[in-house]
Amino acid sequence: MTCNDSNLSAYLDGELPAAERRAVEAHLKTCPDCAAALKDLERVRTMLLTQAIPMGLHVPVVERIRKEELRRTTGVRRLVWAIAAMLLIALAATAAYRMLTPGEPEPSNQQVAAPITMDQKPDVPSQLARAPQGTEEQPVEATPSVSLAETDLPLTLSGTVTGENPLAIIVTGDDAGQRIFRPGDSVLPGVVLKEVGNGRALLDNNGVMQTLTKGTSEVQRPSVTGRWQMALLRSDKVEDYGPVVEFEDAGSSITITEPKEGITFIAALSGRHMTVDGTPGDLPADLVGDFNEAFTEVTLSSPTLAGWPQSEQAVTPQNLYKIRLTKVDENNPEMEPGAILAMRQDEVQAMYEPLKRYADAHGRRFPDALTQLIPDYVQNLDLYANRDGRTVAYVPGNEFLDLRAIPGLPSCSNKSDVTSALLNHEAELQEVWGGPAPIVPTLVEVTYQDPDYVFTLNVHGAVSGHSAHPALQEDGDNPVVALGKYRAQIASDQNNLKQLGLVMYMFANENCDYMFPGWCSVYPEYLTDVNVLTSPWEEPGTLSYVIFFPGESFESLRAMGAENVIANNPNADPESPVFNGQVESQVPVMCNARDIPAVAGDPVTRNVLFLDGHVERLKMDEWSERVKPYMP
Amino acid sequence: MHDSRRVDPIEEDLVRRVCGGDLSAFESFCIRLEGPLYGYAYGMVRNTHEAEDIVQETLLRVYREMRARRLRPGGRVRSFVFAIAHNLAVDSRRRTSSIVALDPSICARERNTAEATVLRDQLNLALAELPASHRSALMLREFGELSYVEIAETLDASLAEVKVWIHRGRTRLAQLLDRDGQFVGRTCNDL
Repeated sequence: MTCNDSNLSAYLDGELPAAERRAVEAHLKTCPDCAAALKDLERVRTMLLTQAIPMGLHVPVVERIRKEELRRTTGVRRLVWAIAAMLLIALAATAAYRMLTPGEPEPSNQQVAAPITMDQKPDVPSQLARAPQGTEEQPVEATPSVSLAETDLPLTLSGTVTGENPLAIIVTGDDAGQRIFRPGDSVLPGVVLKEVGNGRALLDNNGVMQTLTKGTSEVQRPSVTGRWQMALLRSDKVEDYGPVVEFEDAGSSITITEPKEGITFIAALSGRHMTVDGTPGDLPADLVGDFNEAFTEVTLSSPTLAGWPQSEQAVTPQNLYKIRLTKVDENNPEMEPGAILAMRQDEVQAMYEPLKRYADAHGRRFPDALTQLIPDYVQNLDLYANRDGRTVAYVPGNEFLDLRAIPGLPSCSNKSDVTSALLNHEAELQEVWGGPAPIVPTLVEVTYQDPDYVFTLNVHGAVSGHSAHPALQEDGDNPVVALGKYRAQIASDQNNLKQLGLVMYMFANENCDYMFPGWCSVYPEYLTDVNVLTSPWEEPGTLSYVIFFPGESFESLRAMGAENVIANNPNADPESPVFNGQVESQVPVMCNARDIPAVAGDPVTRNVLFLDGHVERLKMDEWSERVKPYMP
Repeated sequence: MHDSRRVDPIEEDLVRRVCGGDLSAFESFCIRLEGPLYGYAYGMVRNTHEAEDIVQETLLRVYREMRARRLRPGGRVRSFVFAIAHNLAVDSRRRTSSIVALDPSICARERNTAEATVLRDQLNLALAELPASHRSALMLREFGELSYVEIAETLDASLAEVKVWIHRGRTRLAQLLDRDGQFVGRTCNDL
């Protein structure tokens, strides 16, 4: 160690190995200059670290992230629908036979065919093409009349589609998985797919015609025909429910139909493995997944990530979005919520016929109660109760005006457009009713007794559903989106309260531990963004939260909390170090001014901020138990 | 030089939770780091607005990296965070310096006149005198609490260089600032 050595700084930073550190220490004892230099260095450090640092720089960042996440999840929610839509264009009706070990496809040479000579070649295409036409339903078992050599190339034919747009799904031996080939495509270098028959493909292997035949070892499985609930998963948790689709099982392929939109697409099935391939557009180009043991559930994901939004591609597999299809079991009360809603919608729809017949016969007025339909229009009392035994409430809709249901109206921008939209609607109604409509516009509102969801049946017989939660009505046509949005809004509301908790602390820190007396006393010094005062579902500018103890000292709040804690738990020890924390987590300080209404299974609740800054969503019974005791 | 990389269990836990999508954990993480980040950024760009922007942009990027799991718990978080801030600060300086004349004599003159009245405090006057490499290394040490090894990685320099830069940076600041923290300017020793 010599003087002015850079080891002095490293010593100060604790970055020296033990030997050098001891050397510096020894030197410092003998060299007053260096000791003084070290003091100087320490002084610089203190000066640097005692600068004023602004607080809360992260608040706008966190807010921005929160908004982005919200936007992104709604964006992805649309994806479920988009996938269904794009699959409509996908003509790729695929039939795949991928074995359970897709990486090591077995060459399918179970069927041994006689060798072919070159002079037989010209006859081949027509022979092969003819064979499948008459036997669309079953795989071809018989050898075509002209024998062709089965190829010895490392290829496995997973499935074929014949007809206008023929294609073959072939597993090439190079671990590439199955791919779709059309006649004329090159399967391997020098090997071209010439023609596709049912269960067979004709290959031109460097000028020699060869066949490739599908394997026959089909795994025994139950039929998957029926209704399936689509759900969007993220990190293996359901993020959103999509439509209920219908499966039609055709052996090695499943036709999937979305009844509402009339979208149909086909997935290939091999053993448990399901493949949806060749989808166009900028959405997942490939979806694969395995059915579970009982063939009641299949989770599809994109192995290549191709087509998922760019922002999702960097996400690791466990985080990736997946699509799950669950077989709807109509007898299972634990059914997916999306399916329940879809089914209720059908039930409401079923009421249209008897209601219309009644109205036709009664001067175009709807009945005052559903009982009036019995027995002339309805014999079946099931009308009163839906499948989970809940009573149907019926509101004759003569006064109920649902502007959203009027075509064209929501997009109007001026008064004359609105008038003409209403007139058009009226004319349309007259057409439907063959004369003046009962009362224009006449709608029937049918709702369930726990008013979580309102279905509206219009005079055209169309059902639209909207959440009973007022802010969610814009998503009325998709109950499931509405539910997702409702929960997201509740989370955002809780974040508002958390931020108000920070405001409360900042104020208390500078004001002798007192709760702020009112919003004006914190704005704008502590509360910079007034938007946090409004729940996301309320009108901008609404004051959505109440302060329980404005101007109260934290000390008296703690004392009040301590009383309650001891009253509830006589064993609680006020001397215990955790006691204060217990107390603070029990004292409510702010909450929603109005109840958060119930929606589809979620009960009426309120978000409550406690003195320790945590926020909880309390059901009304929890509310009376935990918040009421503190009320004056 | 041994690697005194420290692992803060609370920070590690926060990062783990942020990776899993816990936004409140991210808030706590921000509260821990925004002060040091601001100190660092301000030291580098010497402009409050620029520094605030850098802090916010850094936090945003850190969040995205964590959510994309490119940044995971494992002892390297701080170094990663400060590397982002460092790059942003370098970019910002490049941006602003392209506006200001690049002639060093003009820069020096401005420092002595106009800037002197604008600069927030004495410390900044002194910091402005340091070469960029010295300042970066020192700031990463003081605010980022990074080890010399991490600083060397961040600045793409050798360990020996980092050691010298930090020492020279500190020594120079000690010369430029008197005991009351007042900027005393160039001393005879420097000429």
